[in-house]
Amino acid sequence: MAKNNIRNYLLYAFGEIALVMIGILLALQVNNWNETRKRKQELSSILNTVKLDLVRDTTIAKGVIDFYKANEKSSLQFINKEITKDSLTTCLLCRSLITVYRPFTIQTKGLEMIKNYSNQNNVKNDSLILTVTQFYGTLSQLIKDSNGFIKKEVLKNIESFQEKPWYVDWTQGKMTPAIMEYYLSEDYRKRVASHDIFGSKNHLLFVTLYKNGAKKIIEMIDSKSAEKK
Amino acid sequence: MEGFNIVMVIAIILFARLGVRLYIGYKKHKKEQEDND
Repeated sequence: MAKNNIRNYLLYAFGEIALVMIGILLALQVNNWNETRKRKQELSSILNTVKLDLVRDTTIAKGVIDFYKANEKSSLQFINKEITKDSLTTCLLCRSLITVYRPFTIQTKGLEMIKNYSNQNNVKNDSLILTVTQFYGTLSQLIKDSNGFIKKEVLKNIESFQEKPWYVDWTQGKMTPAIMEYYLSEDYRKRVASHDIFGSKNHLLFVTLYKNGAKKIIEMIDSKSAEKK
Repeated sequence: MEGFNIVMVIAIILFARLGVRLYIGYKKHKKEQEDND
């Protein structure tokens, strides 16, 4: 009888312990669901920020691309010796061909958020995040370097202009015969060719690559958010 | 408060409740045994 009683009590205790275990497992499961939901929401907000960054970058990139395409067109006229005194007076861009530059600065707010998110969560299987980080990793340094090279080249050109007797006239936008003569000289042609390599060849190429890549990533983000809906 | 989440609160409540129920169950079982004797 006593043995039977102990058995009943142990059975009861085991039942109680099992109920507690089920309760804890349920709480854990609900907590996991909630955490996953919060992570998804956070990722969606981060991707939205990345998209906004890329949209802004592509708009700015378009301006830079247009500028350097026009610059290249005029530069080729100098390089191919097609420029004449008459065309110089009408070509406004030719006057500041090698003394103006357009840096391209990438928005990195979204990238920083992705880096923080990647540190806190396992994103090895998320192809979109990997694509975004690889995209920024490859092009951001190239563009940063390219900005530096063009800036250096343009400053060097302005410094060389400062030594010329017509420098003040040039800063006022006047086209004196001395300035015109310099524009048609071999020294200016070489400077244009050098600026063309940094600006219209390298910088334009990197910015175009960035713009095309950014467009693809915007499409990928859009299709991912459409999948969720 | 990091690490002290809702799962921990539920676990503490459930274990406290388990302790009380096991104690009450033991008392009841002991009383039944005494009555039978």
